[in-house]
Amino acid sequence: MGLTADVDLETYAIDGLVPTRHVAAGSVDDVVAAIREANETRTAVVLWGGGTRIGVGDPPRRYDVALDLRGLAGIVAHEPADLTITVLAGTTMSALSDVLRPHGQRWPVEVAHPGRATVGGTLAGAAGGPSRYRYFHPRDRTIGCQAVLGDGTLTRAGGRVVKNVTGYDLTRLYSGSYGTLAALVELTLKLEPIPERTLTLRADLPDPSFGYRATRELLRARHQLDAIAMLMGDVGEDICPTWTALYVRLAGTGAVVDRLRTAVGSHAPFIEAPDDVWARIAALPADAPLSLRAVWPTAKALELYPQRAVWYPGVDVMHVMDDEIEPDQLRSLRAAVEAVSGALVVERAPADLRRAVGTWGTPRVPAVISERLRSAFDPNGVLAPGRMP
Amino acid sequence: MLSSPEDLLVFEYDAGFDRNAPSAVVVPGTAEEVAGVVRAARDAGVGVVPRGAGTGLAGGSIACGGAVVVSTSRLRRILAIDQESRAALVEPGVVNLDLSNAARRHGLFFAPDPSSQRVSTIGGNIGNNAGGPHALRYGSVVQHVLGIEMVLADGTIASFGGRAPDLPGYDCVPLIVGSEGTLGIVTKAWVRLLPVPEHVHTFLALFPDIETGALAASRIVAAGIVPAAMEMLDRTTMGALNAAFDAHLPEEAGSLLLIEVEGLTEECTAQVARIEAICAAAGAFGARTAATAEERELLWKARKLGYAALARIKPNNYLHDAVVPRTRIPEVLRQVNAIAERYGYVTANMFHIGDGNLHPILLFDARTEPIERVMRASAEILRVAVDAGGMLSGEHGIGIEKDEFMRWVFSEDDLGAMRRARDAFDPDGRMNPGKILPGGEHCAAIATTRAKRALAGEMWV
Repeated sequence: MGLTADVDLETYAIDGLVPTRHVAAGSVDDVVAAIREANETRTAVVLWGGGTRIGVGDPPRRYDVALDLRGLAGIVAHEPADLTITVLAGTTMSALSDVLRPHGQRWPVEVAHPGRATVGGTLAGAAGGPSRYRYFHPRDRTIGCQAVLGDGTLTRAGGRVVKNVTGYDLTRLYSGSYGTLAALVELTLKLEPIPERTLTLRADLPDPSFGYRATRELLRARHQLDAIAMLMGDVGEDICPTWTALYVRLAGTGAVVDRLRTAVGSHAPFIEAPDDVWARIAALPADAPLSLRAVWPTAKALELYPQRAVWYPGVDVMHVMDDEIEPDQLRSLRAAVEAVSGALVVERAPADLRRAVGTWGTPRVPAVISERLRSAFDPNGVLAPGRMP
Repeated sequence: MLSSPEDLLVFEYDAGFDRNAPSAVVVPGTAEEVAGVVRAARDAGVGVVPRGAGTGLAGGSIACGGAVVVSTSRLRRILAIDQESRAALVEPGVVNLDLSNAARRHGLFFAPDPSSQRVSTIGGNIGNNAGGPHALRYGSVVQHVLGIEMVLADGTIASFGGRAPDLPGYDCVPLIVGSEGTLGIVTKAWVRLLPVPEHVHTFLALFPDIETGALAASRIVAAGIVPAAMEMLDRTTMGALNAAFDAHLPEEAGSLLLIEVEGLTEECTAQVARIEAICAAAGAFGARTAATAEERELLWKARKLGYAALARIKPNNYLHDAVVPRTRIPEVLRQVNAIAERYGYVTANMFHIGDGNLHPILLFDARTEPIERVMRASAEILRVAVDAGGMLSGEHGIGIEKDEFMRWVFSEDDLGAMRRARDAFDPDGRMNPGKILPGGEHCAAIATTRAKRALAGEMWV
């Protein structure tokens, strides 16, 4: 375990809070030891992967140790013929892709900054991106894990089989728990073949209302899309020249892509665009100084008027990236979104705004259950206390 | 509420072998009434066991220790279908196939399709994380539930998640799915719907024996082809189907793969060509394609009636649900059949080979052959699957059938973590007590449970 005089602890600051210590875990045992020690000393630990979603969540109430899991990287077992792989949690998404690509395989999860984002952080932070449209949530592609609970107990859940109902599905409970119930140290993933051909198309539209209309037509026509996103506002001249750009990605055999190209062409004036634009789209909400994730029914999307946004229709998510927003404005927007069973999560914002309005809004789980889960999995409150509702 | 012995009789068993009568059966018509029942049971100090259609095979809906059964048969409304967000809001008693049929009017469908789908309910499907043949491509129920309204152990009605994923707070929905009613009683669920595929191609390939069929299935997956469904039927099953339903399956075939690919027409055509080539190379000697929707129905009817047809060979059967890594299927099948042969049981294999979910079926006559011996052979089969890196259940659940075997695949600490999650919902152990986790005492008096407990302890060294 690397302890560290020479690391600048400021690089592990969260909302102005700087830890007093940094631990670089190189093994599962290191993670167990660090969390056990935190229990003994009653200190608080924040788990770090690539840091792409470290700011999501309320600021921790206490923050003593930054436990960096990036050294816990590598492939434990890859079964190409079974379309499964087991990896250490600190493996980056790019490193995972590099291992899988020669086998014509991939984990169909796209996130912001795959060179930094780790597999564990992607699951723990429920990271989203263009792949959600076709392949849904990262947890839907994760079949087992090894995790260190808040009291330092090393446990397994799930398995290495692709279909499983053997016991409670803790792997998926840890998904989206932002390092507050357990430290994920190893994950087993369900893989997909890389499609034979991929084609990205862009339509430049006069304003968002054209985009909404085309999108709703595309969805209702039930074309088999691989991804769909609409960009709004000033998000980059080259990727969104007219302030409204509708992107779709088609994937499959050559014949499929050719046919879909013609079919979607009847809904909007699509032109070809480079495939790597999706990585930039995924990164937009992660890089914006202000970034709100609105979970919002696709049919009501027209009722939001962002200055700047990435909208993922079909999965009901709009990332709003306006220049600024007043706390009162945000509260009333949140109330409107929650009134239609949506949510408004403040993923990135200046610390004072986040403190004023809170990250999460109304939790969709009873408080008594959250409290009991937390005290069961992390009895001494050592894992990022206060980050989750 | 039902409480006469005659009424309770039909609620003392599911489709498995364990049986025990509940103290009463209630049939509430609203979530508030469910909550009232849970509160009354709490006050009376008895457990509560939810029950859909009773098609479970692992004893999950058997009420033990004086527990009350809550039937969801009056909670059967489809409350909303949202075409653009592709989701439906349903009550737990809605029959699986009824939901899919309702969604089809919007060009959508509910993907999980357990063999029991004509009668089994969404609530029961959620409780067991049901699968079905098409789970190969679309995943099990856990991939298709977005939000849940549930009556908790204290009698309050609570919501988890909603119509869209990633709502704020811990994501308890996938924990609730597959929890067999031990965390609460589901009263509503938002489920995901998928667009109906434009083209479906269904065909079967015949092989001289199980080995070659299993080899072909493994090679298809290894080639990166994920069909919508890939099922295997063995010689015993085919013979039973011919005898029972004139299925006209060739007598000389040792195994059959029923394969379905779905999607765009061009994509299906390309996949079928690749699959046929792999099958031929593995030794397939015959293939039959469904030319029409009716023929497709017939092929699937054969698959879904297979279980019923087996009753012609022996009146009883013991159906397993172990799941193994797909690369290990041929060797595991070999060992499973060797065990059955050693015990002298006729076995039938009719299962989801594409995702490694085995269903070896031991055929016997409970009037003359002791169930304990069947259970011993079954434990040996489970052991083989576990040794191959497999798990106890792919889609039927643990219930009281396999709870004691949980120690074969999980450590005390692993089980402890599961217990923490369960207790967070139900600290007093009132919701479907005695299920899933080993060591529960509520159902320990059932004879079959005692026998399994002894086997699980004795065979694990």
